[in-house]
Amino acid sequence: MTIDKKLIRDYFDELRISTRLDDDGDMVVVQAADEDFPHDVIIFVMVNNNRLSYAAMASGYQPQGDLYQLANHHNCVRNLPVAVVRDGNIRMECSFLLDEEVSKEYIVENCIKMVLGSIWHAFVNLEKE
Amino acid sequence: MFTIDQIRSYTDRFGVPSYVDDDGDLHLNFAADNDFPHNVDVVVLIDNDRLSYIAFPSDYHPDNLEYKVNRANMRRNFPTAVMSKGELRMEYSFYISEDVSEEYIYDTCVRRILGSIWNAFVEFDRDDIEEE
Repeated sequence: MTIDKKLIRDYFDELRISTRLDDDGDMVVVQAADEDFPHDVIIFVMVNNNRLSYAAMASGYQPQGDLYQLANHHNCVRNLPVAVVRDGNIRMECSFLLDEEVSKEYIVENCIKMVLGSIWHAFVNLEKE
Repeated sequence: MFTIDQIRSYTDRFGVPSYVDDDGDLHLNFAADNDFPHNVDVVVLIDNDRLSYIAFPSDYHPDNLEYKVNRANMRRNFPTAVMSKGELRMEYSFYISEDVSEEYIYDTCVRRILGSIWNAFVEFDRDDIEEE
């Protein structure tokens, strides 16, 4: 099986999840700030060599405390995404290697919907858990 | 979706010694070698639709662990390095609630992840590995 950007974007369209393309041709999803988390979460969705990857940042978000401790604690309590400290900021990251046969439902349910929800909740709960 | 017996049948193909504990979890024993001179115990757990791996190195205590854990996670998509009670673990899980091929389970969810876990330990203390 091969996946490509168009296939994944088609799935996002079916889910009515808006995406835009950045200068590199990667998809960008923005989860709007709300009462639970007052920062937009910007998620880059990349598809390369059958790997579907997510890298998320929270705009203007500066957590209190030691970022390495926060990231490690998150990674101890949650399966995904992975919290990583890059350039003094916390990123949430996740990827799936999909070069073997999987159903469309697996990609949609487990590799898209679940991940997007998990990324948002990861930021919401980063300093709470 | 999958069972411990199924996963064990795959790891048996690699010749990895294993046992099933009283909780029904599978333990894989990876022996120390020249690349990583510590035994690694990989615990494989299945809970509903989630296949999880937790890897414990024996008597391995790198310094500056919190920084190196993050560094490992910058370098690799999987597994996830965590510091728990001051000790290093490598973890990863697959949540598979929909249909996937047996090849996906064997190749991606067993063979590759086990190789990645070992390589993650091999590289953990090295300063010359590039970030992803």
